[in-house]
Amino acid sequence: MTRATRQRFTVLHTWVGVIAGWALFIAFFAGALSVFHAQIQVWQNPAWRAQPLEQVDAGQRLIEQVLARHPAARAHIGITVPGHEYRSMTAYWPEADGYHNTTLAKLAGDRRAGHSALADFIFALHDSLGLGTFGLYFMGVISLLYGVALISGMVIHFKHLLPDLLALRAGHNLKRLWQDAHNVIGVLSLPFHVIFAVTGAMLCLFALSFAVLGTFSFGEGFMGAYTQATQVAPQVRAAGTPARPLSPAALAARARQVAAAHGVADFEPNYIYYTHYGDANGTVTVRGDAARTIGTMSEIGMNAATGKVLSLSLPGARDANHVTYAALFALHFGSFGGRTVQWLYFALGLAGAFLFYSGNLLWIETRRKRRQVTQPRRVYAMARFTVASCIGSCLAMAATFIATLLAPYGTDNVALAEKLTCLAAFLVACAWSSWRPPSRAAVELLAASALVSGGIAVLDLILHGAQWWSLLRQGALTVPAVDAMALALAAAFAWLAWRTQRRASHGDIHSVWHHPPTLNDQGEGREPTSHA
Amino acid sequence: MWWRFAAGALLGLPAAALWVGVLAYLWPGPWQAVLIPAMVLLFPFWMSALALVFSAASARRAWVWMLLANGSGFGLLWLLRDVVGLV
Repeated sequence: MTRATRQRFTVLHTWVGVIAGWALFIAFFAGALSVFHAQIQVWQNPAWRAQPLEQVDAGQRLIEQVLARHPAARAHIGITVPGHEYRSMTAYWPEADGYHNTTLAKLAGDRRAGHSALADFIFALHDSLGLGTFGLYFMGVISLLYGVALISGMVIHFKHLLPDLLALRAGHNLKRLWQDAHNVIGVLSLPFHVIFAVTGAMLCLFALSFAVLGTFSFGEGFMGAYTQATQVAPQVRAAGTPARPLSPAALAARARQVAAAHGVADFEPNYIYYTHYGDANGTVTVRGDAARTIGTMSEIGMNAATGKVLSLSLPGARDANHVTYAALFALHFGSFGGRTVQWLYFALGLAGAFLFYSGNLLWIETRRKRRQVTQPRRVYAMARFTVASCIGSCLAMAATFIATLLAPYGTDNVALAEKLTCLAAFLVACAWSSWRPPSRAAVELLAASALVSGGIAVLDLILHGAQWWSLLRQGALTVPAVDAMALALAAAFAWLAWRTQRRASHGDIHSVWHHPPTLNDQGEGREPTSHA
Repeated sequence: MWWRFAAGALLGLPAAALWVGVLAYLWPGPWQAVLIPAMVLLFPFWMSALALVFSAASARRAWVWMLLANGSGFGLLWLLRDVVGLV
């Protein structure tokens, strides 16, 4: 490789990193939290925390009530099965404007029920920055740039890959230390990053890959082949003769039996969906997770009335398409190895966020003028941008948890209050970091993140203390664990604030991270008038 | 830099799709049987194209490479599907 080529790859890596880094930081931080989506969902509804798991026996009632109000849902209706993933049953059915959902409690007019959408909102921040379809495509492009950053990063780092892998040279040269940390995390978690770049791009840009593969490679048969490659129950026409479908409870039991007969003893149903409900030809698919495999997602397609197995996708009993399809989701969501893999994904998610943050810091460090106190304007701009997007998004997400706790006292629309709080906190952080010098904004926003994160646990204890202790005594640790996690993150933010403060007052003065002599930094982009 | 990137972004995608198609047809059995693995390959191929254009000596060469990748992929796919008759 010539020097010029290496140089081009360095420029490429720098710029795709700068363009995609901030969005990836948000995606990784929200993604790390989303590993515990189910746990956050339990936490977000204080009125429901102490309630036992809803039983699948009630599923029949839920389906009948939905169909009585929305007869068109007969064509396609599904319900979640309570278990590891969900605590209550939710029915889903498509209408002209997209999927609708409801629960028994909502149908009964329970005003406390399920108004918070915290876990889903954090997930939406992860997959689309909370910006809907536009955000999803945007994140698809970001994933693509992320892939390019991985390739170019490996190309420029390749020569020193092994000799420097575990080097972490802590010394006077801060840039060296940040560079080492950036490289070691990037290289050691590379397999994990490759998974996310590829599956992330796929999940976000499905429509695009459909269009190009259909147009250029496979022609007209593509759509039908795709349906066959991903679905389990065959497509059927309604017979026109009515037949009473088996209940969700009976179907879940039958699916477990069928899975066991195929050597999958630990099949856990989590979603049951019917087509042509109440018709003799109607099908039902029981989807669930199997343990001890990478492709955990398993599905059993049956005739809904007779329970006759029509087709199935189980570990060890499926084709290349269904194996890949199941593995795709399991690898992205970390659902294949129980708690251990969940924690691993959480840790790697935070490490990924650090990778993008440190990338921006390296950009700043590389362009730092070592002989002048006042730094170039673009270095200030990048410092402000990094503080606003990275620390600001952490603060905004923590504030959203606070909104979940407080909003029920002021409004019925808790979900909206959560979104607005998140947006408002983020905008305040952006305004703050464009107003304050970066060195101060970083310390202040980190301190604010620590306070707000800690506030989540404190506020939860104040508002629901009695319930909290009784849950703890019963050994129901989900809610206390979410609060403990908030405290742990608060401690981490506080430590970072302290370190940043130390650098600001004791570190190299020739840096944007050093406190300027006065509170405002009017002198940015110009030579300093005095060396204070 | 921008011209190179444009070559990878605009021509890299169809080239990736065409070559994914070539591999799926070459694989034993009908292409339908490896459709999802083929879809998984699409994005790494496109990402690689986006990176590869930066190893070309000039932007013009990057465009030529990408055009060649498209032309060869298109030709091979046509050969396999319509001449050899692979399914």
